[in-house]
Amino acid sequence: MGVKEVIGVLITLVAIIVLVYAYASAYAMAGGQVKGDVALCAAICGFIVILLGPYLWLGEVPTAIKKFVEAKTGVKLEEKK
Amino acid sequence: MVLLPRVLAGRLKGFLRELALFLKGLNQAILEKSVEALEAEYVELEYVFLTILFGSFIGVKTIPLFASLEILEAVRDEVLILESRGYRGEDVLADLVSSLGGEW
Amino acid sequence: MFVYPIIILLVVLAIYAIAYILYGRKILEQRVVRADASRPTPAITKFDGVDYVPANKYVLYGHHFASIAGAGPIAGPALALNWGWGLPLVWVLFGNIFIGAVHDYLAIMSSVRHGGLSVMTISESTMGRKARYIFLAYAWVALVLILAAFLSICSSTFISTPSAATVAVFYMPLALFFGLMVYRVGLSVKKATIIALILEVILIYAAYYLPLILPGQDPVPYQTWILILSVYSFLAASLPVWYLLQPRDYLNAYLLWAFVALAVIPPLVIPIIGLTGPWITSFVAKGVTIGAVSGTSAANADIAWFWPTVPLTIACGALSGFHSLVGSGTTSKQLANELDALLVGYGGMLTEGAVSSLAVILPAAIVWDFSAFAANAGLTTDVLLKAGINVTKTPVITSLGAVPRFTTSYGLVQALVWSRLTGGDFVAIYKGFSTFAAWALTAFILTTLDTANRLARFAWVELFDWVRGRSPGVYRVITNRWVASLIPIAIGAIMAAPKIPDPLKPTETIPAYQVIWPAFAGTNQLLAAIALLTEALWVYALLKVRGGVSYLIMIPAAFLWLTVTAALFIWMIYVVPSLPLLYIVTTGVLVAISLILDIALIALFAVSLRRASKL
Repeated sequence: MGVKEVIGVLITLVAIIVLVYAYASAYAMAGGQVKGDVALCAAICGFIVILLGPYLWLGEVPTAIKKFVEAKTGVKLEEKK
Repeated sequence: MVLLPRVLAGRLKGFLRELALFLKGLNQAILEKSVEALEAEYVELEYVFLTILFGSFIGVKTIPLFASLEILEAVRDEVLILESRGYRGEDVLADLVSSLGGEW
Repeated sequence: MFVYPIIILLVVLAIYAIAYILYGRKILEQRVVRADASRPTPAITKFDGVDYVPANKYVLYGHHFASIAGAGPIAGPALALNWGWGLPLVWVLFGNIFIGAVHDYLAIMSSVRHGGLSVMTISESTMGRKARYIFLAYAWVALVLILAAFLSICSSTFISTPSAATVAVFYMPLALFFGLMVYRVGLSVKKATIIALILEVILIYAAYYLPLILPGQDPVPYQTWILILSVYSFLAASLPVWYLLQPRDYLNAYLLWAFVALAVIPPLVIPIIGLTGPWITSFVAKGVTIGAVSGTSAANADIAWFWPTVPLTIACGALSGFHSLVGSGTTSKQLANELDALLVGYGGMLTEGAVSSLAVILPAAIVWDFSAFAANAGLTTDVLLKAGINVTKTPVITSLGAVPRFTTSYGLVQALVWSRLTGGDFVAIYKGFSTFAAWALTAFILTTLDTANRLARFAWVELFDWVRGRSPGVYRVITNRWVASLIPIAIGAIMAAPKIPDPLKPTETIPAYQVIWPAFAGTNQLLAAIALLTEALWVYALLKVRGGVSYLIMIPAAFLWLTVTAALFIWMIYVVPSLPLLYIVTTGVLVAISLILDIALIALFAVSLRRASKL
């Protein structure tokens, strides 16, 4: 996997952990409301960041199209750097 | 009078059939709506590709003129896209409003 | 009083059905447009497999309806409740039948007869090149105002119903997950849909327990949300379409159908419950209805005459200019048969009017007076207090803001229905459904936000194409990609961000959308006015329909133009001076420009009409 994909995986994992933390801490401590400053920051940042992570990780081209083009042309496609 | 229930039953069956078609149509509409922006992008790409192929016809040096002429036969169906785009010209706003999603 | 929900449902359906058959079929289809099944449509004559593809009429109806039904028909009638519940219903019914649905239908048919060109080009061919620029200007102004209004509505919904914010935070990753399942893992669409929908239901249920409340004193949370949503919409507009946009729009379609289906159920399950609201509070409502800042003299003055200012509130519920663009976009290029257009265009708009009446107006009529509603429903006011409604502080539904009016009434009515059907706890079910209502509203808004961004940029560039010939340098600066996309967002966010302090009650604030909405609605209706005037000219000049039948289109077109112009003048003269300076400079200037173009428009129309009548 290229550098971009690795960064993408890391960002996705971090985002998931952050979101889960935000809501788990809310559930455990504030009686169910995501209210503390840290938890809130976590929820919002997690929200924005989780949109980016998988994009970097899983690349641009949907699998079906990649397979279709590879089958048609016989050339293995590289992931866009 | 004996026929009346039969006529009504026939009407009801027709109505239910139309209703089933209506629901199937709605389902298909949901599926199609989910790809209409992708299709708009696809058409844009086709149009750009065709413009590259036939640029030399309009004075834009993309590929040699003879290559364009040779290729014309192979892309006969796609030229329809070029034609309809030429007809519509700059009138793309409505297409974008209706295909990019969003509820108006 | 024998007016019950079931009666309202039957009346709405009956009026729309009669209008569809008598007005739609007999008059519009047969005598005005003279639709002919044997005349091939562009989908057939220009078939190319991508743009021009004939589609089944039910599929096209679903497409068209899903593109036009959204947050507009919800927010507008909620604001219009200041006139009672009956008057707005009258406008939604009759404004729709004679103006709104006609506008949609004629947009589709005129586009079909012009080989798939949009209403903008048809206005250019009937009224001249200037009409095209007026059209683009209206579209751009409406898009900027829709950004501002929707940013504001979404943020204030997230503040008033924090559980909807939780749903939003997890919904995007869910849509993403669905997209990845289908496009990267290769799961079949049906399986992926079922998984995604189950997760969504769980999400809405869980969100009730986990609301997301931003810190800080008012207005900080509201402004934080505006910022977050602006960042989100910028991001969503930059990511590839298959990744987030399409999966999200796909799941939203199911949300829309669920919302509509649920809205139809109450009149069937609790058909006979007293309507606690007044049919009409007054023909002239207080200025606050059309956006006057409360506390100023304009807000308490009786300046919101139902006619002509109702279009400044109920915009998309009865008539919306964007529908002409949607109809003359992909819909006209996929029409297989001219006779299908009535179902798709006229029927689609009528359905939207029905949704608006049943999802917004009817529940509000049922729960208007909360104590009376409690008595009718066999509940106590304590139960309502547990649900979050304080009957002493907010005794009637009009004491709430526009969005809470909708979520509260929808939630209460659904809670009543489902608690009766399943015996569950009223308060819990209410909280679930008001979250669902708030979520549905914000989901529709979020999809429109980033599309409006892109379209505003496009309209801006188109608007200034005449500069290119005169001064290429200026053109390059004006239409630079970043300039063109930042200006709408910037103006929109600036307009949406302030929370206007109430001069009389320093601790209370008014959400910005209450001020922006009349401006947005007004420009939206102006867009519809230019479209309808174009279509009237098309009918008169190109179809050569003269005499009595042509009046059936001319009169609604003229009436619409008159109504909207009068409404916007009232707004400019009475309401704008009372607004904070920021709004005078942004909203006021935008509407002033639109009004000047409006006068130019009617002049163009008159000139073209005279020219056509001589032929």
